[in-house]
Amino acid sequence: MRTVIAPLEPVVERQLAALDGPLCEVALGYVARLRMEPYLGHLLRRGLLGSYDVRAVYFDQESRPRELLGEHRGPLRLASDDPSAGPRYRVVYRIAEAPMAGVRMVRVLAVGEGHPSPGSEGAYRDAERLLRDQIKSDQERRKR
Amino acid sequence: MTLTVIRGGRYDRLMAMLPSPARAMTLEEIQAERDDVLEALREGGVILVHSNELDCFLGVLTRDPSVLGDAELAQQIEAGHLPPLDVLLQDPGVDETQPA
Repeated sequence: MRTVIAPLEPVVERQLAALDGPLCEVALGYVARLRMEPYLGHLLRRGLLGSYDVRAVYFDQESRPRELLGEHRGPLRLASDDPSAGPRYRVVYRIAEAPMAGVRMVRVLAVGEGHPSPGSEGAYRDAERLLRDQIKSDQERRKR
Repeated sequence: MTLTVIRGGRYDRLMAMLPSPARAMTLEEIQAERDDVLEALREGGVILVHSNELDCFLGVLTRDPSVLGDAELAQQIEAGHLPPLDVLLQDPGVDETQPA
């Protein structure tokens, strides 16, 4: 089965462009890594994203997505650490395994802060909005 | 060691390799019980879907991965959210090294 990263949606490209340069590089590194490790992210279980079996990879500026092994596999959080002290950013994505087509499709739904300060939306909300917008545009297309 | 007791009918269905649980429901019932429906589908179950007036059998609701992924891919391409499959597979980033 072939693993394909779907072309990035314009809204996701804008989210990447809004990140600082090094953060954007790290995010793109994780998108590229999903070709090798599509199940890297943890499964979300709640709400619309949970019903779609959407996944999320956590990252920060110090993350090294291209280092698969070794001492820099990624930031670790110990049980004694503050839960809010982990990586702030997320790549939110969905995998569709299509055995008849022979394709494992990885679609990036959003990139950005997971739980930003009040006043901004965050990557999970952005991912939900993309899914809802696509469903609505399909409904409108059928009505035409 | 962990022992799991599987009783009567469920054991028979598992041995027969049939999806379980299998239910017949109307659209209204599915909407009203959607959390339970989602859980049943995630367990490998199926729902035979009928119109609210029970005058039409619509089809089968499933999250069987062998159906779900192809259905989603087809829908995304038909709706224009993804390019056609042959264009997608020309992407130089396609990785063919992974086993199925």
